[in-house]
Amino acid sequence: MSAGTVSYLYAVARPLPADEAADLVGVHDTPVHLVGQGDLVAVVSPVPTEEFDETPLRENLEDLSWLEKVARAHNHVVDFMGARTTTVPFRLATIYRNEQRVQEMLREQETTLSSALDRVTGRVEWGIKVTTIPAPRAEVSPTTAPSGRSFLQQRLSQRRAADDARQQATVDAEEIDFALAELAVARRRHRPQSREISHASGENVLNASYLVAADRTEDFRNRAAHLDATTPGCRVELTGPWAPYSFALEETSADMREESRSHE
Amino acid sequence: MTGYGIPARGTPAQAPQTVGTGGSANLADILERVLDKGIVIAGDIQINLLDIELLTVKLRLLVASVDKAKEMGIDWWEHDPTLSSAGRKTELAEETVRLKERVAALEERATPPGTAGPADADDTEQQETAEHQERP
Repeated sequence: MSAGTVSYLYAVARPLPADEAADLVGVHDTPVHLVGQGDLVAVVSPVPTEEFDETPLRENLEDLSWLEKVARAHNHVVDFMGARTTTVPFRLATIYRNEQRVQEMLREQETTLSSALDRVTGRVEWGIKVTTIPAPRAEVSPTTAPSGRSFLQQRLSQRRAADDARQQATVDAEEIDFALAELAVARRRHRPQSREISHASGENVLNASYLVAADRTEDFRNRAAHLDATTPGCRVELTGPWAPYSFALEETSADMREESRSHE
Repeated sequence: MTGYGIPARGTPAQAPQTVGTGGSANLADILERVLDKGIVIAGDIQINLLDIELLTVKLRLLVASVDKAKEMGIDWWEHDPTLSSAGRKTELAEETVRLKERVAALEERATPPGTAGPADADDTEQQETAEHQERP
């Protein structure tokens, strides 16, 4: 490895023919290497020390445009691998001094990594976001209302209608989640996305990931589309398929078994 | 369960399902996965993303690079009254303007020109405040 670089680790995967990943590039469009150890390969690429050493890394993570570039490159590599072999993504910015250190880590963590790969073999992650469809709001203005009292009453009833709609959406979201979890091996809920970040016009009432067996994917997609069409107040948005980001950790699967039992 | 659309096409169970979110995936969807999910095994360079709540990360990022965020159309903290005093002021100012309009309209209807002074706008404002507090 050349001077001035460290090793960025994107994912660990089951081996695939070497030439399949020959064109794959990661952060800064640098070609990735596959570091093999037994039945595992680590997907790495060299990145500049001046950006990824501890101090600059901490600063760079605060820079949204830097973060976006690295996040997209990370996701691109993970996607590429996930489309070809069983892959478990690592968290963003997992950095080793060199590839030898990556190899040592693979040896030390072989059991953990192997069982993580086994858990997601033949399965993919789908994201579901349920967002309210805001009702058109009649213009209430103090200058056109017949009286001050009527103005305040109209505003109050608008607020109550919005509260009711939100409550209904929360109930709908629970039902949607339940119907989709039936087709999934595991489910994990995420924090709802802020409206302004997601650019959605409504409110995000459910943000979750589902681990779905490859042969149930078509059912899952169809059910999501059906739920979208039959839930009048909400939009059901499907994202993915993702590599199993949300199901990489063992305790996560355990949590989900717990959660799905409580639904029964 | 039945009734949910057409049956699955035969996807060979042994072949991995195509994974690919392409370049088009929403940045928020990517960030919540790459920052908050995925396997965590300590690397040689220690940045503890685990301790950072994703929302906090976003907030800090947005505040740290306001220009970039604005470029992307993300400027909600400026309007969110819980996050910015400017946002709070905007909300109150808009309310005040509406109420003043209302008062002026009422005065025009109720008061013949040249008689009694204008109604006190502050009273009306308090009514609106009381309504805010009524909400659960």
